Amino acid sequence: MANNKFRYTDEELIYRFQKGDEHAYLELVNRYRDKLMNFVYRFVGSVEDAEDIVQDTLVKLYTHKHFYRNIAKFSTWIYTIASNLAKTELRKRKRHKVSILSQMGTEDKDFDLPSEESTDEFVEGRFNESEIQNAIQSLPLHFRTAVILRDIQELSYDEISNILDVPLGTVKSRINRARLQLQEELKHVKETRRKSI
Amino acid sequence: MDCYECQDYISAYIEKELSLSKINEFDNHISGCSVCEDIYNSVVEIIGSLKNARKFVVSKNFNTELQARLKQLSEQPVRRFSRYFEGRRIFGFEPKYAFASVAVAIAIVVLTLSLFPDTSNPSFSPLNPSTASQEFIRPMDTLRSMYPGEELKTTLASESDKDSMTSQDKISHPKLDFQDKIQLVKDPGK
Repeated sequence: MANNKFRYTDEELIYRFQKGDEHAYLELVNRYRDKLMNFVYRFVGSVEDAEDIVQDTLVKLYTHKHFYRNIAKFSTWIYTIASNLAKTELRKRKRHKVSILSQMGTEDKDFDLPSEESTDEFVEGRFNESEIQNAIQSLPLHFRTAVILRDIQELSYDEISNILDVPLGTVKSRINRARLQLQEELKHVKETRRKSI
Repeated sequence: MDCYECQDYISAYIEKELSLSKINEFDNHISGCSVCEDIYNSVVEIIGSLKNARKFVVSKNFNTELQARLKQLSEQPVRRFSRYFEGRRIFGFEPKYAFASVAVAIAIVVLTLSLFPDTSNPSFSPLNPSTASQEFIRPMDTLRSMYPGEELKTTLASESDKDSMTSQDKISHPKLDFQDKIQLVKDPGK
């Protein structure tokens, strides 16, 4: 990691970008596109929507670069933008779902199931990908965001507190309750699997 | 430590955020409670699963699509006005919110002024005969436009005229009655 000495920090890059350096923007895109993709996918549960939201986030970074103030970490700021856009998408989808359901019959399938072919890979022999994703999707939004940021994105409690704009104690409590709820959800999955064997 | 408390402390225990005394209490409870022990083990397993879960990445043409969108954006004409305010803040607000607040404040001031007449201006006083006649005779123009060809009284009604007025006249000339009353107030000896 000798190169890290010469590597710009995110904050330095956004500063350079604010001064007009487009290469700095490209570097930020390369650093964050996959992290954001993973976060947003876990949040919305659809690869296509997740990619659109990540695009929107990075476009917003481009057009609103001057709104970043060097009082918070860049990662906090970009995750806040992505999280807000993802929440907006879910609200939009909820409205859309209501209108679709009012027009269609009961035979229509629900939408936005994970569309990746390899989502059934087992994760170290414990739970497979779709089981994890379904359990995450079953969480209320405020639990979901907190647990994704902590256990999947591996951010610190302080960063999560800044992103969600809630006190540290609330973040810790939400994460603990989210994990307990996931445990409850996945316990049923385990039992069903055992019965089927 | 009871089961509820133990479950509340599971994450803090895993993240090593508990004090030594709480760790001992937690360990003691877990060793004697199979339900809490199972929950604890499941939570540890889930955290491991989430950490090792598949990492989703963007598609190969992500950067190309992003560049196309940015190019499209840069080709859109940006007004000099919005470019000037780009990234600036007015009184700590984003420009659009600052302008919206100013517009609302102006609207409130205008509405307030229109609801309460300027009583400090003596020429506007309804007791001033010159302005009063201008103000109160003006509705007659409206009446003339409503009844073209009909002769409408525009002078102040005297006591005899008032007596000779029919009930219909009184209805059609309400302002004359009002003016008469003003005249009486002005000249109490009459």
